[in-house]
Amino acid sequence: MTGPVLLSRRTTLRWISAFAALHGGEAAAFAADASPARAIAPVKVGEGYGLDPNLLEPKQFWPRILGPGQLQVIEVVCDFVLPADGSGPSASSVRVHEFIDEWISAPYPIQSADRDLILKGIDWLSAASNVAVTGAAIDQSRIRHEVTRFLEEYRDLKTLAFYMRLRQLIVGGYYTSDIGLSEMGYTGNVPLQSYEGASAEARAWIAKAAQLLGLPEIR
Amino acid sequence: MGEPYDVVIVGSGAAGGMAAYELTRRGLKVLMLEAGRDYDPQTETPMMQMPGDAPLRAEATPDKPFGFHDATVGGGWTVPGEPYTIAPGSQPFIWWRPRMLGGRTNHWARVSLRFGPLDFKPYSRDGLGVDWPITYEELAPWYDKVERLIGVSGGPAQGLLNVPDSPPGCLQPAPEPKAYEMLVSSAFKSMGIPTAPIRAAILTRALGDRPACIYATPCVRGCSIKANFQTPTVLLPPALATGKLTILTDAVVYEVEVGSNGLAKGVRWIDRKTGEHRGAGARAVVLAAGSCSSARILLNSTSPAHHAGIGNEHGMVGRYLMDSVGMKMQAQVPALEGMPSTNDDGMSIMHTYVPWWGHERQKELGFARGYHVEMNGGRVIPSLRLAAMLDGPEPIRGRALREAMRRRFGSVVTLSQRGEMIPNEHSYCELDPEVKDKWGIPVLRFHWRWGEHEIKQVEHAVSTFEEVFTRLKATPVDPIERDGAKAISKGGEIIHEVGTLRMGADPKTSVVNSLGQCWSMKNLFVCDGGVMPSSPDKNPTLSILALAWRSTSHMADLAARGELA
Repeated sequence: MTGPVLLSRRTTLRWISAFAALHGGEAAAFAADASPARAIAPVKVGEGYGLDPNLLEPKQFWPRILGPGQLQVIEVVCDFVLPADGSGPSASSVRVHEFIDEWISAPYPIQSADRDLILKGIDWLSAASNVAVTGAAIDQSRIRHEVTRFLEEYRDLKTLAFYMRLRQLIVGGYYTSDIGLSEMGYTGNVPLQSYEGASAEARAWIAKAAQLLGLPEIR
Repeated sequence: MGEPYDVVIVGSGAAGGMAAYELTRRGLKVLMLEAGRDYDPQTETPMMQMPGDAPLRAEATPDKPFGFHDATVGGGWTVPGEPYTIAPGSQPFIWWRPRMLGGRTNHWARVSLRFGPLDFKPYSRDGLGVDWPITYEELAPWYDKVERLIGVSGGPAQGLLNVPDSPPGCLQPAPEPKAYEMLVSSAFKSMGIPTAPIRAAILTRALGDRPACIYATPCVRGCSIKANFQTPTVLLPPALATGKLTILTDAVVYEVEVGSNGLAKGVRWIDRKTGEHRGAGARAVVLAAGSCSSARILLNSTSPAHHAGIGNEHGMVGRYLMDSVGMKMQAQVPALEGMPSTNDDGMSIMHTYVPWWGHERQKELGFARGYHVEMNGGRVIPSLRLAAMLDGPEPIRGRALREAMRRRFGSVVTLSQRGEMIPNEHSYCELDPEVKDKWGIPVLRFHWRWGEHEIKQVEHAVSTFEEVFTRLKATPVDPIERDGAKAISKGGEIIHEVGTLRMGADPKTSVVNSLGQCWSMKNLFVCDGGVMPSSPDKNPTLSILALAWRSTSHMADLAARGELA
């Protein structure tokens, strides 16, 4: 068997209890109800871009907070959600992990809430995957391997608030990139001399949709 | 400062821009004072920028509540050092203020609907609020002139009740409807509700030196090629070209100064950069700072002869503040999934809208007045929230996720209500007795309460939208809030605040006459939305332009006869 090994409930519980021993017994609660598990050290963030930023050539306004190991975990999750396949590149090759770092490093309220959640999530995920993401001896390839294996084997990702929010940011980050937009079928943002409306094919398709819904005929 | 000026204009938005255009064209020497910084859409607009070109993919933040690329400079829902307060017991009210040349004309949606004949005589129809002292027929020639001058698309005539058709030559042609609009319109049509081309201050044909829209990049960013209306590109350049206009930016006006003859002799203002208090003299004053800011200036213009502020002899300044009624509902429409490739950018706002259809059924509806419906959707650049809506609730990934996003892209439709608010005694602004801005000038305190007609109107819109989505077999994105009091927008949220300095036929119940001239000071004119006695469902900017042109044309007539001051 070459596919991912599905973890038994017993193995999952063992991982969680191992993490609980490491972090004061709150991991089970974190995994189960997705509430934050424990306080993380306060993170110093920069200033916002203010009320009159240069819209044409915005600079990088605030420093990034993720260390290389933490960023590697995010990169793994990015490519777990959107790996390269025949219809598109991987999320990390579009640098979505760097967008996540930018996002959670920002000083604004939504981003600050996400920062708290995702930093705790990185802590939890790395502990559950038994990899170190801080300190001197970070093994990028081991992080990639072990975190990927954990994600593929973990049965209850939907119950993890940090994963669900991180996944939402990854999807948003990818599909607001030029590559993601194009992949999704966006053909706009090109100057046109006139607007001709829906293409003939789209018009016929809409007319058919109205007919199927029992709505008045569209000509 | 090159004094003496004939007229000092406070504000450079729709009203101020129109006033400067007319008065300078008629030969008057004009000083315009703008509270914000200088701003040039031709060099500062982020045309064609994509989300990836901006911090946080251009998502909204407290610094840029409409997203990074929105044109607003220096303000938003809050302006540092320039607070406002909400009275205890009031319902929420929020106030949008930019600090830039051109004001809110830089970021507005460009919806440009004429008020209709019924809108000017609401009291006569249902006994609520007040009638305007003018009729539609009196303002119609000014609407004609405005549409020709700034360029409004939306023709041809539709023949709908209380949605006035423009005479030939006024409107540019409407663009073709977007694909999703055809399906949504069909659902409205199945309910007996007609749709119509939107009227928009966006060119579909070249006008003078302004090219037509290129059908790309959102209008809320402004337009460097001048294809939509904003005063720094459309009204201020011709006014400056006369050589009669001087513009001072970062000039925060706080008081109208009164001469020994009892007339306005100019204004007092603060240099934002230095904090210095200065004066600007003129033979006449035009207030065009926006309904609430103009009211604040008058309330702060106290003297022994005007102990409660200029124009406030009968306590009318700040009264009958109104905003549009707002509510929106979003749904994912499976019937739109998988549509063949099509470019839905168009002129960035909807090409099709739903005018109010219930004029002849008001009694059975159980509320007075009505609303129009704006629709948004299609394959436009998504926000992160829209991406999440397309994604769906299950954490699918890989090929399944890519396939779902491709299939669902363009299938989320938003319907927005824009409705009429009836003026009430509980919605007004006054000076806060304690709080002052950073220069020590008293700030506004707002009182707000939606009335029962607005609440019922929202509930009607909720049930209408729900029926439309049911007919489209669509799934609402969020749980439907059927309680109108909870579903309704906050006061001020739609950024259509009008009515603090109402015009009327009786000096005891209004601040200005039908030409915007202050009853108690004949050389003081109000040209912004403050003069509106009612707030029809139609977005106010086009009417502000028409009223301002009419008022300042009268001023120029007075000046020509030597009767301005």
